[in-house]
Order: sequence, then structure tokens, then C-alpha cells
Amino acid sequence: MRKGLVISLGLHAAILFWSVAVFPAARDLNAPKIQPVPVDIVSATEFTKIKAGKRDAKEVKPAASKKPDKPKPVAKKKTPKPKPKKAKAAPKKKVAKKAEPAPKVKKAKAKPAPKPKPKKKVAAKKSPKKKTSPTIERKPKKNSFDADRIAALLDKAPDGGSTASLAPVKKPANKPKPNKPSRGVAAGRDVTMSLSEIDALRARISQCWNPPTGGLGADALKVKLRLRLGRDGMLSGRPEVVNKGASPFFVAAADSAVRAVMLCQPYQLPAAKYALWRDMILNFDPREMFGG
Amino acid sequence: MTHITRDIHLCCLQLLLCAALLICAAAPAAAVVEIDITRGTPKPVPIAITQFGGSSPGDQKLGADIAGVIGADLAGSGLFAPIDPRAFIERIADPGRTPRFADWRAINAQALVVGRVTQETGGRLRAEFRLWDILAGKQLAGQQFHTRAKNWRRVGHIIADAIYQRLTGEKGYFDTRIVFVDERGSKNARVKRLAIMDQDGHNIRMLTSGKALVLTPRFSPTSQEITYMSYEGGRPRVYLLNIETLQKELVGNFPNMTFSPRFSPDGQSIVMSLQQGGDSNIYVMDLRTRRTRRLTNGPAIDTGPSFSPDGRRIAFESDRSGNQQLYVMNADGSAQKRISHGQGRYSTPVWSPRGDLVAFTKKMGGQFLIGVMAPDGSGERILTEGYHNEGPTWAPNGRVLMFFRETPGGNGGPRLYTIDLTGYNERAVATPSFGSDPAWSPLIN
Repeated sequence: MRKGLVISLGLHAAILFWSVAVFPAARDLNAPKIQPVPVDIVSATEFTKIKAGKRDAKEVKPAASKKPDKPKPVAKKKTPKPKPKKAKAAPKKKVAKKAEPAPKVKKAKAKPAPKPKPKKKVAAKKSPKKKTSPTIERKPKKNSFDADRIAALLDKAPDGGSTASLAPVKKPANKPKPNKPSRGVAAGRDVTMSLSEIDALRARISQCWNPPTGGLGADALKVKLRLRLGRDGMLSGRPEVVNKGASPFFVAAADSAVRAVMLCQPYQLPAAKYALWRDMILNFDPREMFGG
Repeated sequence: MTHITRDIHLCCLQLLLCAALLICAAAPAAAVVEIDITRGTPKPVPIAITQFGGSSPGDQKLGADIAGVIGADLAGSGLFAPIDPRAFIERIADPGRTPRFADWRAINAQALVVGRVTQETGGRLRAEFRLWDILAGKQLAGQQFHTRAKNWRRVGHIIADAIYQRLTGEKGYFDTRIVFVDERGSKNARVKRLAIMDQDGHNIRMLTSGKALVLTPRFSPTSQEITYMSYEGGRPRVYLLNIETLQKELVGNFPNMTFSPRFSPDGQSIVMSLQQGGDSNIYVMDLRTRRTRRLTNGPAIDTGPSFSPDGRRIAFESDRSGNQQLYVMNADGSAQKRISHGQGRYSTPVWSPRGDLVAFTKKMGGQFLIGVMAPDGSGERILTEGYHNEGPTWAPNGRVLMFFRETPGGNGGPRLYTIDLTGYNERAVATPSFGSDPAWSPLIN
């Protein structure tokens, strides 16, 4: 009886010991953390502007090199007043608790103003940034200073504004720059007309266009038409057929295109963009319709 | 010294020119918005056709009749929508004067036809017309015709062809004729005669007496002749018939049945089927030498040959695969290749005058369909279907097909119809009685 009891107790103890030894090592079944994907809701107009860029467009470097120059005069005269405001306004919570914001801001004021390029390092190390905005402060710390990236850094600091060099760039941070050259935009300027405006115009002309059906070699039906419009949306002259062709198919196709643009007037287009739509080229190509 | 100063001047001039060129090159080109329009809205063009003027009441009556022919032709094509004359604001007395475009724009006209008719001495007729583009405000076409007064309908068709071509780019098909089999009498004792008429159903004329059964008439592309099959003499054979003189001629004296004839594009030979036992093969006969050459040879029924417009290939039907299918071969009989691979049975291939399509009759699911496909068999498209559709024939511009549709029942019979390549514009062709086996003529010279 005792013997059995001892064996039983021994076995239970062994099982308990084993379970204590083994189970703590088991891993938690935690779902992997998924990084949230930032989503921006953009309008069709903005989308057109994004799409209109060209990858091989030149990066406009002069803009970056000019920006650091600007602070010189600005810093001397204007920085002292706005800076303290910003430094106090944005990073208030952390700055107030951890360190002496006042002297640091002063340092920042004094040093970066005359020579922003070389003294940025100093400004960064002396860290008014460290305590104000952690996201900005890491970059200058880990990476070596790159003068070419100043412009990028400046643009990314709409909320910071704690350093003297960032302060003067407040204005462009939130404002759209329609006429300012930037990388990826064709011709270095903003897009002419938005996708929605072009689509609306295309749909309207498609409604008015009665293309000649059939015809051997649908290539003969392609017509390039140039039209000039007045501010009232009416044609300011007879549309000009840009490409040439002698076949009866082309002549009929060209006439049908001219009839379409004449029938469609007046055109309802944004008056603010008159400079863009006063002169347009329309490529009429019905091959898609006839499976060409 | 003068040389030196001249050189200096020249150098300065060159520098100036270079500078000017550089400035021009550096000036940014004005960015022009460029938009692709790849879709239109095909719809009938609203066209105003005024009554053709004339100096006498007779001329005015004739002018109104010619305008009516033009309107009916254009409306029948499905591509034009003539505007009701009662809506016209401007009354045009002198067709030589520029119309008031605003008046025509107000009634949504996009094109305007004006004209004048003058009956001259000796039964002659002078007709002139002008076609105006209302939106562009310019004249698109203007022609004058002299003919015999009795040809006034043809004048209307010719003017309609000119308008059609100017506005669509394609040749018209209104000044053409149709030969077909006129069928009269009860279903059990039907009399079948060859008949010819204008494409709009006017000027009908019988070509045969109706004593013998006639089938499959086909127009010569180059002369006023037709070829057809007749049971005259109790044996079905292929004949040639001059439609002006009605002179008839047997094509070859073969021991067996010959059928399904068709002219070559140059009109110099006829391709047809010749029965041999239970099979039939395709032969071509040179009409000048009367020599025949066999193109197919096999234990099958090869029939329905139709030349491509360049005369280098022939489409035909054959049951060599077990059921009727379409094939294409070279004009010498080589490189025979099946082109139809869909479900059902295919027959009566007809090569388009444009060469881009082959029309056919297809039997599937108890229905007879009319369709088209590319000569390589791709892009099969059914245009119409029904109880019994058969015998497609192409208009000379390759845009419209005519065929016959038979209605069931004791009182049913075949009628002629046209359909364009879109498959939407189907119209009945007026005939005095039942009609079948139509064949479209080329444009009348």
C-alpha cells in the first residue's frame, strides 16, 4: 500500500516537475504586428498631377542650393522673433520638462544664422532638436551631414521649426507650389489640365463625333486637329487639320472631326485655365471602335 | 582695309544670327494640350435634301422626284437621316447661291443638298447638285449631269452615290442592280424566273420565261452578263445570259450536272461545280478558250466557289471533314485549307469586293445565320439569324449584304433583305412577289 503510494507520489511529482520545466518555454501565440499603411485620399486632379510626372525629368538642384542661402538675411532680421514662439509652441511638453529650452534656442539663433551649412552640425549636436522632435533629431545624429539634403529636411519640418535654420522656411511648407519646378513634373511646371477636365472634354467631343464607319486601312481615318478657343468656349477660327491625306477616307474623316468640334461648342472649361485650353490639339482615331 | 571691315561686319552678322537662333531655340515652346479621341457616337447624319428647283412645273416635279430618290437611297443606307422638308426654314430658289447656314443649323442639319433640273430639247435632261457642310459652312461637292430624261432615277442614284462617298469616304452602291429569282404561285407549284431590278426595287424586268427552274444567278463583274443554273432541257446546267439582248449560252457541254457558277474578277472565266457520281468537284472554265481545269479532286462534295477580288484565291465549301465547312485554296487548286472551325455547318461563302471578309450561311441549332469572317477564318461575326436566311451577296462597296429570308408556313416564302456590316441596319427590299437568290451588280458604268 505504502509502496504504491510512494510510487504514485513519485510519478505525480515527476510529471509536475516536467510540466514546470517544459511549459514555461512555450511561446506566446501572438499575431505578428502589421505595420499600418498610410493612405492619402487624393482627388482626380491631384492624381493627374502625380501621374503627369516623368521619371527621367531632371532633378532641380538649384532650388536646394538656394534655400540655405536664404536664411542668411532672414535669420539676422526675422528669426529672433518667430523662433522662440515656435520652439515653445510645438515642443512645449517635452522641452519644458527635460531641458533648458531658452539657452538652447538662443544658441541656435546665434550660430546657424551666419553660416547655415557648416553650423548645422553644431546646431544638431547641441540638440535643440533632440528634445523637441525625436523623428527629426535621429537623422542628423546617425547620418553624417549632407548639405544636399537640407532642402529635403526643411520641407519635412512643418511641425518642428525648433531650429534656427528651419524657421525661415515656414511659408512654403504648407503651401502648394504650382509654378515651382520640381522633380518628376514634365517641363518643370504644373500639369496643364486635370484628368477629370480632360475626360469631360473627351466625353463631350465623343458625343459630337460621328466617325465615318469602315474604310479600308483605318490608319487613313486618323485626324490631328488643332483648334483655338475664345474665353467664351467658342472656336475662334476654323479648326486646322494638322496631318494630311488625299484619300476619300481621310477627307471624310477630317470633315467629320471638324464637324464634331464645331457641333460641340461652346466648351465648358475652367476659366482660370484659359491659357491652357485656348490652343488644343485633338487626335481623332476611330480604330479602336472598328477593332483596328 | 575695306576687306577687314567687311569681314568684321560679316562676323557680327553671323554672331547676331547665331544669337537669334539660340534665343529662338531656348524659348520654351508653348505647351499645347493634346487629347486623344478614340470613341465616337455613330449615328445617322441629319441631312436636308431640298426639292431640286426648275424653271417649269415639269422640271420642278422631276426635281422633287429626284430629291425623293436621293433621300430614299441615303436613308436606306442607315448612315443618313433625311430631315422632313416641312421643317426647312429657308426656301432655296437658286441652288447656285450660298445658303443661310444659320437657318439650317437651327433645324440641326449637318449637310444640305440643293440642286436644279432642266429638261432640254431632244428628251435630254440636265441635273446639277451641290452638297454643303452646314457646320463648317463650305461646299463639299458639286456636279452636273446630262442624260436622257427617262434615266432620271439613275441621276438620283448617282447623286446619292456622290453624297455617300463624300461624307463617308466609301464608294456608294445606289447606282447598281440586283438580279434575283422571282417566285410566284403556290408553294407546291411555284414559278421561278430570273428578274433584274434597281437596287431600290424599281425598274423590275423579267429575264426568263419561268418554264424551267432557275437558280443561283451571278453578275459578271465586267459586262452586262449573268451566269446561272437552269433545269432547261431537264438537266441542270450552267448558262450565260446577256441581260440587254437576253441572248443565252450554255457553258460547256458536260455529261453531268453543273451548278453553283461564279465569275472570276476579270470576268474572263467561270468557276463552278461539276457532279461526278456522288461527289462534286470544282472546275474553272476559260470563257475565251472554253477549256476547263479541275481544281479539287476528292471523295466529297466541293461546291460554292467564290474568287477573292484579286483573283488569286478561291473560297469554297466542302463536306470532306464530315459536314459542310468553309475552305480557301489558291486559284490553281493548291494549298487547300479549312477556315471555319465553329459549331454548325457553313455554306455559300462569298468573298467581299474589298477582300477583307468572307460572308457565309451558317446552320446551327435549327437556325440559318448570315455572318462574316476574315479569309483566314478569324473574327467570325453573325449579322442576322432566323428560320431560314441564305444566299448572301455583297454590295460593290463591301459594306452591305443582301440575302433572302424564307418565312415558314403555307403562305410563307422568301423575301430579300439587306444588312450592313454593323448588323444593326437590316431592311427589307421591295419586290413585287417572293424573291430569292439575289446577286448584286457592280456599279453601273
